[in-house]
Amino acid sequence: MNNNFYEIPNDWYNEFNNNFMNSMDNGMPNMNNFNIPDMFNMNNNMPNMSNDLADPKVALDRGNLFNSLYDPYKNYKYRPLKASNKREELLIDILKHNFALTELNLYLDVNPRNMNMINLYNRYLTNKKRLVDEYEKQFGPLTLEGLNVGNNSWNWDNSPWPWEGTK
Amino acid sequence: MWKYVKTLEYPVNIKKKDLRMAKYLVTQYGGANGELAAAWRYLNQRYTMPDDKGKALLTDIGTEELAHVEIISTMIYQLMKDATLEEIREAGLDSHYAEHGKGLYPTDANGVPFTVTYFATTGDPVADISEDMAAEQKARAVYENLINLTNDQDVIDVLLFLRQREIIHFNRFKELYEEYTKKGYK
Repeated sequence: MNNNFYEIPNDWYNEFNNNFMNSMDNGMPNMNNFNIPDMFNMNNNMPNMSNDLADPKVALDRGNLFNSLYDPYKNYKYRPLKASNKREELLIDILKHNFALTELNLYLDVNPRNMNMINLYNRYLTNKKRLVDEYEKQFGPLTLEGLNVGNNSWNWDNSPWPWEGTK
Repeated sequence: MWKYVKTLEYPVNIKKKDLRMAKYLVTQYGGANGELAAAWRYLNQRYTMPDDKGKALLTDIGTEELAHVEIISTMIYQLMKDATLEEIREAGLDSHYAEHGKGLYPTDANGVPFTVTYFATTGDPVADISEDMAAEQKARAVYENLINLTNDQDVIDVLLFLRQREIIHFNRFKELYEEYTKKGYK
């Protein structure tokens, strides 16, 4: 496997930008959100020679970011994750970023010199941080470090516990 | 150091109780090829890896396995939570109930409690990593057995996800194994 060429899925970023603009329309402009890195404009410069990386939106659904390693079981098909409310929609978006980061993390542990993958990691991380920030403002903390966003009350136990599923 | 993130790696929303499936699934919590054994196997072996690649990979896969312990636990919890005593008895989980109620407890599918004898640490990186590769394949096989035992799509979705993770982990360990054997690490 030649690991030097990875395509960055374009629509992943476009959709993120749209979401971002929508969130601005909802009336909570935050100057931190303007910290959009130049990396957003790098799409066109990325080598387009391999399709080994799946769109991260699909990667979480199927449990695997790397097309060459994807190995379905019998005729079973993965189903796209569905959100049943606004909170889950944003959470699933975070989980998709998070999953792509996990995949790149494990890849880079063994192949630490792949600059394309490092750039991609940084990009997903920037996006994820912004989404987490947005989530925590609306729905409460995901980590104890996300606790003091906008108020002084202890809201760690307000948001649902992960094993309780959709409510 | 670890920090808790208040979300699953992959969402679990099982709507139908299924005591039998809970009884089988528990093996991926506390059985020989389960996620708990995987997590501690890697997190315990990492200290004596010969280079940063090995230390990083075992730390990071070990950490992901902890997230899988949580996913499996969630599945068992959701499959059991609305069960009546009658259903518990019918599924043969009455002995579990006697000890633990509806609480979770890491055992295999036969109720044998988790034990660290499920994994080894030799201090030899090539031996340890090849054990890890075998562990991923065995866990993949068990996930396939479990998929064969259910028709509930909500359960199958999660098992398919976890099965793919075994495949990825196996391949990352394999890359490391090949590099270590080439370098002659012992």
